[in-house]
Amino acid sequence: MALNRKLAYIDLGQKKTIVKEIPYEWRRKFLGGRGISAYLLFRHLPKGSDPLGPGNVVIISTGVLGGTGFGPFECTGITSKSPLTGLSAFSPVTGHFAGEMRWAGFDHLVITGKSRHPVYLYIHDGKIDFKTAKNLKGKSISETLGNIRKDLLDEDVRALVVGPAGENRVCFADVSTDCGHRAGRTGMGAVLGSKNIKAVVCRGARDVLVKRPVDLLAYQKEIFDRLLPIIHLPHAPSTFEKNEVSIRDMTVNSFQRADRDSEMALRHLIAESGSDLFSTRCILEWVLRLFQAGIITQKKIRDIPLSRNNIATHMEVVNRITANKGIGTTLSLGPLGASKKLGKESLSCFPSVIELIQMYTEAVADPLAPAQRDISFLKVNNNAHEKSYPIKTTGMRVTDRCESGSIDRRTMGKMPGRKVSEMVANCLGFNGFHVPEDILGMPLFSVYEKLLDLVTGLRVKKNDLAEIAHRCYATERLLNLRESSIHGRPASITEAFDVPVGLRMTKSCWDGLELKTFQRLVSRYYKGKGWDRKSMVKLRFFKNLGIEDLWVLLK
Amino acid sequence: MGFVEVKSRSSISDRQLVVDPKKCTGCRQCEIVCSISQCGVSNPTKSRIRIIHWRNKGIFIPISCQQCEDAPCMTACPREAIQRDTGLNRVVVDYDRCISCKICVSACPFGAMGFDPQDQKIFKCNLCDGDPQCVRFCYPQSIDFTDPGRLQYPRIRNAALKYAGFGRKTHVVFSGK
Repeated sequence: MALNRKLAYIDLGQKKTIVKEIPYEWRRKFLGGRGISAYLLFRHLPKGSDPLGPGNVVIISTGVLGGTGFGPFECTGITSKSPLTGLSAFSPVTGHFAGEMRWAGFDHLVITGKSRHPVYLYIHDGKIDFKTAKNLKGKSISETLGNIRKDLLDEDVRALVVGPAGENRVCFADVSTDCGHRAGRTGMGAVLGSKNIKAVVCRGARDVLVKRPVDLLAYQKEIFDRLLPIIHLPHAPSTFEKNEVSIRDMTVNSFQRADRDSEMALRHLIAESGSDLFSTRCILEWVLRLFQAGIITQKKIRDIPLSRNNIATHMEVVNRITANKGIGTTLSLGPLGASKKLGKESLSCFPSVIELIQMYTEAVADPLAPAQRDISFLKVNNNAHEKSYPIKTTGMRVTDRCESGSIDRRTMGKMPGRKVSEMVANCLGFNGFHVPEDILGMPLFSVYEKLLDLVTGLRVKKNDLAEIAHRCYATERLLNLRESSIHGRPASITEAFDVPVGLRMTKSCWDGLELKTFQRLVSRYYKGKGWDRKSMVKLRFFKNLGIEDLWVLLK
Repeated sequence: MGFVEVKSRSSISDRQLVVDPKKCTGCRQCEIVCSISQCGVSNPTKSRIRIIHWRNKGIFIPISCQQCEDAPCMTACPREAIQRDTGLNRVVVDYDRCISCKICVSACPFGAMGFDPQDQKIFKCNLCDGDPQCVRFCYPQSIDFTDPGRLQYPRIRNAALKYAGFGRKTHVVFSGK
């Protein structure tokens, strides 16, 4: 049985593991990957737990198609309560870890509690070992990897590694794979670091069964032949390109670039420290502007001689953020957190709203259409945004508008096509698989349907896939509702709009989007999807989705 | 003088599996595809081709059976279960004779012979009966299934281009300097 897979509950406090089989019912409801992770997080996350406390739960997951040869599209997902947003977050990371985890025998790892001492988890052939990482404390990403490989006497291990930034709980710390791919946003590095986990290492030799291998290879070949000449995959650069670039290109246009060597040295420092590159660069630019505006004084930053052209300055700020010392203590909270200490007017110095929102979003933008960005922080796709930037994945638009068929309209509402597609892809174990149907030669959902059949033998229709996407989406949203009602934190980025001086709106999809318009769109969206005005839901909503067991946990 | 019969150089029997490590990106697609194709499961340890890497240095080398002319595995086999298939110019295992003694695994200097503990059988590259799947799925074209006469041609051409100085400001050969 290709779906006869296992999940492990790992209690770091007691150093115990419980291995269970993933129920078939969960597969029918959530498929795998992001879907089952959202469900598990809802079930195991204690209400109102601190994201950086021992109560938080981290779930590392792969999808049902992980390790079956979809190299550039495969992803591992890290799901937890984000220290940056205080809401549930799914951070995908491409690379070979997903496959290795499946070959090691597991599809999901549910990590709870907190270890007394730094450890790394060694997962191999159905076993999970807790290895001491005392000697790895404070080590950079590459040093940690080198030491682990030496320790295990194995050069081929795959790993998710946390850098010093994660250890020191910098809220935008990322998790790096051994190939240099990053789970950049939402601060998953800080969550793993807070649990005293330095790395999760996998090595496996177990079979991942494939239902119809010959047909699968023929179909994979057809897909790759169509896609690879056309699509550039910015998030999976090493797979089909020789020059391995582990760091994504930056989009902070306002940053004054120093000479190339210094620039690369800065990037290397940020990457090795385990901070999200994009977020750190935004923060660096912000610090400079705060200094120019007089909000940060020389006294506050002590001996750092701040200068735009001096790369050593930036490196020093990065070191302080990584060490979580001095000015780094404030900056490591992220812009919204830091603005509470520095004053609300400090946010007006942030490079732009786009950068601010991107820092808080959880997934990379569509590789085919970088302009088409969702407000994925909110998990809202407002209609105005879609109108100004029509979505090219027309197949998906058909799927969600016309072919919803038996799906209950009240629950389905107007969930945007690309959101449905993204959710299903994440459940399958893909990331960045937004491909127009004219390239694939058929609607994307038909591809998913066929792949599921070939790999697992699971016959799922398009409507079922859309319903699964909505169920996963609703589960995440319900968890966010529960958590946001406790912290009194609105589940939106309206805080970003609530600044005395208007933030500069760069030419983007956010042009002219003011707070009231934004709130109106949000309320209209939720009303259309079955949520009431206060975004609260009733038991029948859970029953419609088949997740009524979560109702008790919501209350 | 009579006419000399010229055989087609692109016949399957003449082809060999060759790798160009310079092009390999270490994506390991070949390993997964090989295991799915040969065993029906995804498991790189059962792959007939393996990528050996020094990732920090950016070095990735695909290693598989070289189908040696004087194959050590063939010589070492006590049951003569390993033989040469002249049709496809490959070394094959006769599983009716094989006793899974694993001597061939020890004898192979490339480590290209493997042992499957589940099936208790040795395995090696069989060139997928003339249509190697690793070649089909190698998009960087690091692995090729080609005519031996053309093995060196791409490298000779590259060397010639460098010698001629294409891409430089002055053409060394043609400028007469």
